[in-house]
Amino acid sequence: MSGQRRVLAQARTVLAARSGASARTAGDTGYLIYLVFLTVVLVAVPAAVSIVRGVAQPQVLAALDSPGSYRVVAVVAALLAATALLLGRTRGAVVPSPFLTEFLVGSDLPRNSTLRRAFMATATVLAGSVVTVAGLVIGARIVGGEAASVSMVLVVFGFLAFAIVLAVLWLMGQGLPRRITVTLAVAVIAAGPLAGSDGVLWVTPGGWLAVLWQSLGAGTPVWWPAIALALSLLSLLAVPALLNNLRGSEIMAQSRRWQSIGTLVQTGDIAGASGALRDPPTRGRRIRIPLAGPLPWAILRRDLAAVCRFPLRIAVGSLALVSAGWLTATTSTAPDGLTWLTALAGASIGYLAVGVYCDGLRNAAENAGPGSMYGRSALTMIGCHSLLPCVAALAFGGLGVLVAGASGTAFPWWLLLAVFIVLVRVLDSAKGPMPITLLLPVPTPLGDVSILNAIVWQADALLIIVAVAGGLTVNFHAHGLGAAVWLALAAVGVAAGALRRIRALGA
Amino acid sequence: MSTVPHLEARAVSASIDSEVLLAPTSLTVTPGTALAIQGRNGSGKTTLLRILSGQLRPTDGQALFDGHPLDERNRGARRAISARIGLPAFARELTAHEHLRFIATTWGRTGSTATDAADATLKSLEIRPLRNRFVNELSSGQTQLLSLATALVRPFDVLVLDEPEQRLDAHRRGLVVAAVRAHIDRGASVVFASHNAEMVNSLADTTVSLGEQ
Repeated sequence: MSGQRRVLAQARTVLAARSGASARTAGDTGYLIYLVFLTVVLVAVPAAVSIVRGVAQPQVLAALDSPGSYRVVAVVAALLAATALLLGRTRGAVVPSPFLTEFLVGSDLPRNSTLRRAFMATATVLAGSVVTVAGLVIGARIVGGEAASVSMVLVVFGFLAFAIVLAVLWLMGQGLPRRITVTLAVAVIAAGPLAGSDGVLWVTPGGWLAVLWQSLGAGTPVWWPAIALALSLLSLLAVPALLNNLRGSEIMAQSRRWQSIGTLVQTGDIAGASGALRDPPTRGRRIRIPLAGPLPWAILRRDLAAVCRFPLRIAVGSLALVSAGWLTATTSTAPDGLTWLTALAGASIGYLAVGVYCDGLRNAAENAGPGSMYGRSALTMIGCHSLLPCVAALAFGGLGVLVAGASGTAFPWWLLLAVFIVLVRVLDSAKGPMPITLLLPVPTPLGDVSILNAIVWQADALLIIVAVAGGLTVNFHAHGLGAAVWLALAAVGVAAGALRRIRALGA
Repeated sequence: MSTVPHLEARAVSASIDSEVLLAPTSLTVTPGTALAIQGRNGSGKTTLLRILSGQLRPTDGQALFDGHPLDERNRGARRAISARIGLPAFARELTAHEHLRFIATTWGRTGSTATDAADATLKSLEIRPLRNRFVNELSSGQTQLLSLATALVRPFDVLVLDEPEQRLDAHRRGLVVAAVRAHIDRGASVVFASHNAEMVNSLADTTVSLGEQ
């Protein structure tokens, strides 16, 4: 064992030298400390304070403290657990660089040794993120006038323990056979709080977390779920076996995929990066695509048949569209402090969800330049491929509006919003490569912030959705027709921008 | 046979700043003939093909199509010139056969006509057994054949191909030669870059050799 450790230590020394870490001077370290300090003082602290103040509003605190809030905690915890299990095969808890995978993970050293640090790093980041969220909420309660209590400490501890359990589930999802993880994920959701019984809260880590949350309102600490969550940390004992169970070829496939995604993101090719994330189809090859009739009709049917080859993705996307419509419709009846939340979530989820119907649209945009395979103009092809996302957004989002049982104006508003969302999708698909000028250095006391330019460029579609679609949905509640007119004008602007981009692609 | 060449390059060249990508080159391609472009790596073969297919404007000189300046924005030129330079942007959600049917449809061949065109192209390259495969399920050679098929399945008068022999075994290279020869025989003109002497000898009526930069 000591021999293995020595080999591992020497290998890491070589890697550290390769990455230049050992060559870091005192000046470099000082600059790093300065950078971290300024980032914390100028970015992290103000952001945390504003979040705490936002959450500390009476309406939001009332919603957090409502009798049914523990159920929401249980549902979210169950969904997170299921997501961790399902995510493992796409992006596992342990994804070292291809170089490390090739020469360290591929060596005869036990994977329990070579991958332990990577797992610990993942678990630490996950735990840190979850505890930060819990801390912000607890902080808001204190700012809102509540006295600090033992229950609060137990809740934060519970979130910490749950995050570590999530990391173990994530690792399970990466290494265990798909049928087992899918079954487990379905069981977590189906047998969880969605079944409508409080009894299940007694037997799942997410349920224990919900009971702890419930105790916050009661004021008296409840120890048993905290102890149960502490005991659930025993799941860490399975980590060595799970790490040893990982297959080198699968780690390498994920390493390569995520390295290329990282490169694409750094170069601003978000479309390429998200494309690398989408698994290729494996089923439905015998679904017949009738390419008869007028071109728009033929392309609509082509896109519809093609999306049927991704049943899980389409099911998730369609459900998300239903929830987007529901969230948008409930904005008008939500408490004042929550209208922004439902409106922004509805618009953002709608935008992200409709993406599953945009494969044809993306392919049309990729073929917009000179040398296209297709015999029609890029504008015609993109226009025809926009039909399916439009129909899907209208149908599934409209279903969500109906489910919400909203008033008569909610449905026309969603229709307008759906068209706007698809137009933004078209705008985004015709984006082309990021202008290199955006990466020119922008010196500030904080260092080079040119990355902000790149981020804004990459996220412009989502920013438009949040600012325009989300903002006007809130506004629609108060101003009705005025908001609709503004959204229609914004849609015209987005359409003009999309047209310009399509022409710039060489159409 | 028409005396007006399908394609003509008059001292076309390409450069970026002081870097010369293609030295001045002249050539003509008449209907029913094939011209092979040869040269070492970096001699400018692909750059010349991009100019001849309208995808790149020459820095100097002039490229002509049917006696008129070649402009990719011209619909007639786009319809007449089918170029396959590098792999196309495949749609991952479509099978090989659907790709060809869809491409044929966008070029105006609808219904059974598109299906027939797709079938014939697959047959000519002996890739019919791959008709129901998605692109990610093809080998590199099979992907190259499907890539060539995307250029052959649509109507064209001029075919521009960049190293069509890439990743293909001797038998498949023969199939590509036969498929391209059939189009030359019906009056289409072909310009292709190649490092394969056998393919050049089988197809080309004339060759242009580019000097090393």
